[in-house]
Amino acid sequence: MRVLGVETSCDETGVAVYDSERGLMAHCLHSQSDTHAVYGGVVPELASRDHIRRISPLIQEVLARAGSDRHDLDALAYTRGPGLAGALLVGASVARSMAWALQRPGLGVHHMEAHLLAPMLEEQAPSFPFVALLVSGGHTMLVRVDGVGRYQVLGQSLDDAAGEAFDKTAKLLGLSYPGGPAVASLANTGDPQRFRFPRPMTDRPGLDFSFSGLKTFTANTAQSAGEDEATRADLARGFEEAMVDTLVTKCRRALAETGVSRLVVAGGVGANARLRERLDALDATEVFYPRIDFCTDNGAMIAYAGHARLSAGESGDNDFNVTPRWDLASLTAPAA
Amino acid sequence: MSHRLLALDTTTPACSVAAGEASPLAWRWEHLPQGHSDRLLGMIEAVLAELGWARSSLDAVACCRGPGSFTGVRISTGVAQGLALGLGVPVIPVSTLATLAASAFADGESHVLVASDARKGEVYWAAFERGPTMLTAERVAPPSEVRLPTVAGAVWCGVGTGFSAYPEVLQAPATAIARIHARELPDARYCWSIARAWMDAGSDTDPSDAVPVYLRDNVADKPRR
Repeated sequence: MRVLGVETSCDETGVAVYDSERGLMAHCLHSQSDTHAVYGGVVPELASRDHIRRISPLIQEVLARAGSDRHDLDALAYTRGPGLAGALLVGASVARSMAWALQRPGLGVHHMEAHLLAPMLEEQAPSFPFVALLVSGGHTMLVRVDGVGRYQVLGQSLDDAAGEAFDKTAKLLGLSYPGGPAVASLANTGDPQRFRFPRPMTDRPGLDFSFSGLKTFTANTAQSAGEDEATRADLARGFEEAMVDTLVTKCRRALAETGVSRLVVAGGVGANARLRERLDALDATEVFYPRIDFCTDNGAMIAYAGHARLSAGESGDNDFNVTPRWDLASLTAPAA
Repeated sequence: MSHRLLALDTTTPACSVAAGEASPLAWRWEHLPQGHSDRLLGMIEAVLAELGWARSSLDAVACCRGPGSFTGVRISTGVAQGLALGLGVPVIPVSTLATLAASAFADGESHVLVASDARKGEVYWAAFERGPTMLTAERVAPPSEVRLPTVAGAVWCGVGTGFSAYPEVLQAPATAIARIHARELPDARYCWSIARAWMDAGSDTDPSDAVPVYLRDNVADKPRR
């Protein structure tokens, strides 16, 4: 089965072709981060406007790169949610209509499910069950995964997502958007000992997160400590240490509580080098990462998730409605 | 030449489709403020079923490309792009304002001022004469800034939701509108007719060229430093 996947939930236009026999055949991505950088965050209307200009050329390009005729596609998949309503509608309308024209199924998939399954695209793919840490600009959650559609949310952020905390801290430190790579880069030269940030919610049981206090702590500390280059680097390092420490503590706890020995790390913050270093050092744990390109939003994971559900017998949608708010826990195993 | 042409429009609260060869033979029109994504493909299926046409027999797809609701304009062009990519046929983007004007020309009008409510105290507007030929550029502006072009002997008909939203301004004597057309929202049958003429003139377009026309482009405020 060959599936074309389309992702437009936020600020990346991603398209890919996945095939049961040949694996990932091609993928293309257009990132809008330069468009949104001047605004310090994603502007939904600008995101939608860019998606509609990029999507058809990307579909044509990915088919050419895959050496695949459109008639060789067995199905199309697109992100149905969660995400920005207007942005989701672009991918849904184009992909669902293209599927309709080809008389193939068109299936709307859950963006976070696609992130959870993204490591399956790698040669070293995890087997079920595994615990997944999903850390991005929109989400921070720990999920037990027993199979496609069999997810148990173990814990999640009660306020800011981890990536959002990075973005807000970057802004406070006068760094560019997106904040993750900028803070990590500045942190490299910082002193990890100078500022001791709190480790929110690690001193009590449970697997939920809370990161809004970290940005307040950064703001207050920055005000009293000054704004010279070294202090900014020390602040970035202190923040990153606290973030990484908190995420690692919760992962360790989730693995112990579930008795699962495989950990999958997905989402943009999963690209953070210090986080990877610390997770790789966890005892008796096999850690799996999608390649860096597939940690952030992409079409390949959508093609794969659509393929997983359709090949298990699920049928496509008749409409192209989107679901901007969609609870991962509401998903069920593919229905044949 | 005989071509099987499908036209669609979702750029306003109306949702419509039309299909035909020499003329629009089957069509659907519904008032669906939030339901475009739910109903559009089903409406296309109904029209094709009525004609006994396989979807793969379509030769071209036309769509209204705006101005209108931002999301509606993207659904209209997005579905047209997707259909054209899947069918391997050209797509013909048509102005929503010209589509509205064409519905008045079909009723015998000769000069039409189209003004659609654009919210925020503005209208999307343009003036047309039979063709439809656009006499002014398409613009978004407060109703008080709408100006009719000078055409000797022209009797002007007003079309669009702008006339009910801002009656006091748009029907002021200065604008010399003789009558208001009953149709306020576009119908894909007239998008079909404009696209048909365009095809007869030998023009066609790649799917990725069917992009929205918003007119209103100041949609994001840069942060103050």
